[in-house]
Order: sequence, then structure tokens, then C-alpha cells
Amino acid sequence: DEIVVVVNKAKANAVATASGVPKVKKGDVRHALVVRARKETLRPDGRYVRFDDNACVLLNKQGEPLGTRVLGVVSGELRQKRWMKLLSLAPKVI
Amino acid sequence: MFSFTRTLGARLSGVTARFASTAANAAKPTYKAPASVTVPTQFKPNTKGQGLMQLIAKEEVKRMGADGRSKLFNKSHPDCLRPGDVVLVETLNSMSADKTSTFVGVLIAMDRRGLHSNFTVRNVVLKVGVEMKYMLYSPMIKSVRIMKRGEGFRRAKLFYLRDNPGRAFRLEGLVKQDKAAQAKKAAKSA
Repeated sequence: DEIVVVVNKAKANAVATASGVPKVKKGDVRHALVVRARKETLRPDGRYVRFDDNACVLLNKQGEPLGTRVLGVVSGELRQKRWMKLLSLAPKVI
Repeated sequence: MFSFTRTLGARLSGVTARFASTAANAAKPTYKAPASVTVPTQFKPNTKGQGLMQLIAKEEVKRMGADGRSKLFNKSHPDCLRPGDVVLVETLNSMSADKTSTFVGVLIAMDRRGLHSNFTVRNVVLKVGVEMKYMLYSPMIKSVRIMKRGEGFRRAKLFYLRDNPGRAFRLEGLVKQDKAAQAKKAAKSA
């Protein structure tokens, strides 16, 4: 699911443009994609998946992931054509 | 009461005969069941003193449990699953292909609900806790293997492991062992 988020905490040495200005600052309002949810999600065959935290990946205006890496597990709900790039970046898909 | 002794075909043809007055209706074909379908003459099933839905559920459990997965939930069976066991669940990705996904984890909950019987498996993957709830009688489940018996778990539901995991989720060694064992088995049989 795509959501609109506000950045509460941004690491100083994180994503930066060529000029060294960070792409993401505290207070930014951005679109993001939920990749893990604490609420159990139902799979078509009756399975439920639940993660211990809620996590999202920031997206740019075109709807593509802002960063070049994805950390941590990612939910298999993202197995759609649109998010194949994100899935390939993820170290583990459950 | 209706008599169910006549076959379905006979009853339908009787009904259509009434409307065969016009030429168009006379040309209408009567239904004849294909050979692959067995049309019962007696429609009232023997429910043996239980409700119809109970009977259907029991039949489904018997049918889906034909590969022996009912024993996983049968307390009197030695191969029964117990909360705290480390379990490997292999799931088919789709009914048409043979590809499977695997999930290893500690069994933290089992719910006996007839056809809807399910169990929850928990693991910590890349520092994130993941729980998967599987339906025991789902055709997508290829196999459920016990990798290690749980010891010292004195509860039926181990939800406390979410906050106090202790050493319960140190499963990498087990997975490696299991993989090696599987590879050996495959090499032996090949």
C-alpha cells in the first residue's frame, strides 16, 4: 500500500544528491510504500503473515524507490509488476 | 414428501415434456448427465445423527488429510506437533508449478478447528520477527517437518516468546544441519 508520510528522523549521512545535499530531511512529506506491517495480512491461500514492526520504503514523485538499497525483510504482498525492482533489492522476501 | 427415486434425467425430461407443446420447445434438448458425473438416485445422505454441515466438514477433513497431515494435530500420535517444536513448512507457490517456498520457525500456536485447523510459526529473520499462520489442510502446503522437538515449553500458546525470546530463535545452525542432511539424502538416492 502506498501512503503519505512525514519524515521525523533523518540520518545526516543518508541519501544525498551529487552536491552533497541530503535528499531527505526531517520534516519532509513524502510518499512511501508499506513493506512490513504488524497487522496480519491474508494471503490468497489462507496464510497469514505478520511482522514485528511497521516499515516503509520512501518513494519519489514517479513512484520509484528513493534509495538504492532496501534493508531487512520485505513482505510478499509486493509481488506485483510495479514493485519488482524493490523486490529484487530486498535481501529477503517472505 | 417428494420421492427421490426417479433419476434426475427422468425428472427433468418429465418437466420439459410439459412444455413441448410449441415446436421451439420441442427442439430443446433434455439434460443428460455426462458419463463422468454420477447422478445419485437417492438425494438424502446418511448424516448418521450429525448435521449436514458437520458431515461435509468431516468428509473434507478426511479427504484433505489423506496424505497423513492429520497426525500432526493428533495428540495421541507420536508424530504430533507440539508448541515449541522447530518446524519447517514447505509451501507450493502456485498449484500449477512445482516451486516451493520454505519457512522455518518455532511453533507458537496450534488451533484445532476441524477443517480450519491452523498453526502459527515464528522466526526472527534479519532482526525482524515474522509470524506465519498456516492452514493445516491447505493444498498449498507441501510438507511440514519437525526439525527439533521443543523442550521445556509448558504452555499451549507461546506468545510470550514475542517479548522474551531467550535463545528460542537461534535457528541458523539447525537450518544448516538440515540442509546438509537433505543434500546427503539426495546424493544417496541419486
